[in-house]
Amino acid sequence: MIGTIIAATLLLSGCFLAMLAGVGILRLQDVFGRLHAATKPSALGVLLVCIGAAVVVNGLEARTQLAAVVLLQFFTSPVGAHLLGRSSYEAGLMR
Amino acid sequence: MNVVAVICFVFLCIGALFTTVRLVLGPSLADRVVASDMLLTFLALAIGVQAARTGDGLYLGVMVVIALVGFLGTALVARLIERRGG
Repeated sequence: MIGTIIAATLLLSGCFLAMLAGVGILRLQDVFGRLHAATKPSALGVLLVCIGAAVVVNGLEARTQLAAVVLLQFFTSPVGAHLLGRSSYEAGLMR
Repeated sequence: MNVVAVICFVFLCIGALFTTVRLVLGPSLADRVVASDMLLTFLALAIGVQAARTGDGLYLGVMVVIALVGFLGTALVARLIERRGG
């Protein structure tokens, strides 16, 4: 019961953060603001949703896969945002 | 848990709708790449919520693959923008 409450809180806050990332992608003004909105809240949202799913899901394999998802997101998301931001800065998209 | 999952799906659908608007409007190629990467993240989050709703991790391998493929697409298009410009 307490695990279900913890998992529900984590899932709701993670999905709310992902929705805020979508709002930021729509509303912010240039590429760099949109990269900021797409990278940081979505990484935290993936972390929260994976922890919340790992609380209630059955089996060690599923929890290992969720941990792999969190690790991949936290390694690849800053690197991809850095690559995209540098190339769009050099292409002259900064206003 | 079912009600919570439905509310989570509604949040994800609203965010994916906004991201799709940016994907259609986005003035440059980099905006569209950011938006499509974010759409993949929404798909991964929906798979996570579904795994929490049903309680078995049947589709979690798809989540791992999505996390990898999204990075590969972003890195390749970043190289393309660097070579070709905006």
